[in-house]
Amino acid sequence: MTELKHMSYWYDPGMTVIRDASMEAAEGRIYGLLGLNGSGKSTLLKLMAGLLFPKEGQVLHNGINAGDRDPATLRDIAFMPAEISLPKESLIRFVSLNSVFYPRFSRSILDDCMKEFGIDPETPDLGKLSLGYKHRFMLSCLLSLGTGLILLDEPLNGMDPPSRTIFRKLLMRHLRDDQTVVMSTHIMNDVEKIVTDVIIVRNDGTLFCASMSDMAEKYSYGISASAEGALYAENCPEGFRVLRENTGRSEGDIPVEILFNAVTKGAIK
Amino acid sequence: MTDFRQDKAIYRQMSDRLCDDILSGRYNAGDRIPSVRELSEMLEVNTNTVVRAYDQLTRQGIVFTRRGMGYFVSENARDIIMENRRREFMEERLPDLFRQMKLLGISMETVESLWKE
Amino acid sequence: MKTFSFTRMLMLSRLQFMETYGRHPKKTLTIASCAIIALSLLAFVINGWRLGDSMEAAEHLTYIFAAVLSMTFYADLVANRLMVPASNAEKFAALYTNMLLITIISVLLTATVGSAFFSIVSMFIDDADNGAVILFFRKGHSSLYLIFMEPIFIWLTQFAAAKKRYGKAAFWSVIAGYTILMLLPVLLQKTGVTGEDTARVLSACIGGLMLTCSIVWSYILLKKTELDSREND
Repeated sequence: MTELKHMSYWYDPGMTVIRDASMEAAEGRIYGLLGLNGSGKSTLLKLMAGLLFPKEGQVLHNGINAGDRDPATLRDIAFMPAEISLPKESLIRFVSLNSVFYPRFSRSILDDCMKEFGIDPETPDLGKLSLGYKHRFMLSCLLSLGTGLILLDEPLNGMDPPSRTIFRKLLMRHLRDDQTVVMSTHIMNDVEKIVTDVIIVRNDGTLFCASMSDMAEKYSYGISASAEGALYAENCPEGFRVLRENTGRSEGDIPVEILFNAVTKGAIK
Repeated sequence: MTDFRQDKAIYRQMSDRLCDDILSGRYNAGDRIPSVRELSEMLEVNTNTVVRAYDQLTRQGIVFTRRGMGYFVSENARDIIMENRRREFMEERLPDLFRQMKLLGISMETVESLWKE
Repeated sequence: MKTFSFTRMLMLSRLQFMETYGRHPKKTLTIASCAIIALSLLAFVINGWRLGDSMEAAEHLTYIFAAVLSMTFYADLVANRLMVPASNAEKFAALYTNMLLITIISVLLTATVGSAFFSIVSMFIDDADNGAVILFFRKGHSSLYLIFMEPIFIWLTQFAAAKKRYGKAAFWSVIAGYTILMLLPVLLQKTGVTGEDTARVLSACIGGLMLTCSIVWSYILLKKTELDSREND
């Protein structure tokens, strides 16, 4: 379980990227991390990985400071950056050199993922893979390491739509109930149905965290001819997409995109 | 006419789809339906959502679970589903239809004659 | 005190070494040998084509060569290995293990290829130091202490990277302090305050002190290293 406690981070004083963030990333949940470009999503992931140290507050992984880089902590975190660089060595060598550090590494999960993604297990030079294949390979590795926390920075970048489908399927196939995923994306549709919670980084650096089921309980979303009484509304061909307080037994899911817009525009706190 | 059109919650869409499959005979009484994980992978949907759908179906008595073996279609699943859908029709669809008819000025006789065809 | 795992340290050391230099061993070795020959040639030329000084220069250059290669391990550590599940101490030890390994390999290369170069060259010129030689293993070789510059180089790189954190004043004060300490024995000797032997002992002590200081500070700096990239988002 990963916790942020009143955590703040800035690169230059006055340019706060993450402001007073407190949240818990619980087991078995998948978090969609959303924010505009340059909003601090990557920074937040790196803070969770222990690659950056908070300027204020704490980042705790199972009670231990992530920044201590304790081997027990590191064994339980897998991080995939947005820019992947793979060494120019064979796939087999790469896996054998790197997987030894992870006791829960599963060869069968790796093989299954590579098969679904169409990666040749005998690839002689990882450096020569295209961007899309690099992403697919890294994803396969990360899923197979079996870590409690999986941090993905724009994992769907460079992946064509069929690969994205495969990615979602593999995630659902192999994730254990005790694993947590935090994945940043700016393509909301891709993650809509698989995430359980959203984390939105607002312009001022504060975080908005909520579970999708809570949102469905509190608010209701629909298409209406008028925007009256709506907490937030957007134009659409049939009138308005509206977000309202859920006064009734409305059960509809709230689309991630409209939730994101409502939060970043301040319509929802 | 309701001025607020909503999509059904995904978990509901899933349970409805399963009920359709049971009615159409794809899954018969006693058959095993896909496990939570299988369905979540198939539909690329979080397992939580699948669990919610399956919980609803279990509560309604349409499916039952056998420990470690998965979910199965109940004996009287068809009857329960038909009953549920009848109720939904009477309590929601019909009033909706009547509202529309009043708004558009369509009489019962017109409808009845079409029904007789 | 957390436990230190030698196995993990060696696994990391192997990972680093193989991914940095182990991909095409034959090719790498060939390139390295050419580098050593070039280095020996350079040593020869800058010493006015005289054998004796050239050989010593070649040995010194080899240490510098090894030190530069060691930097690549440090760069690899902070760019790629921060997330590897090993403790900071194990990472540090793995770095030093690889530094030692690369130094040994460099020395061996010079001892073979470099010696061959000088032996061949000595056949063509008329010099007091003629004859087949083996660099590093000849009489009067005494530059082993240069190996200890490597940890100091590493510390210097880290310290320079952390300049922002320490502030200009502190940074330059430390550099000045180090420089003064290094030059102290020489100064004392030249001004006649101390004799040559005392100066040498003093040198060794100061060297040892600086070395220990650098290593410890290096470790602390490693623990505080963050992944450095502004274009984070």
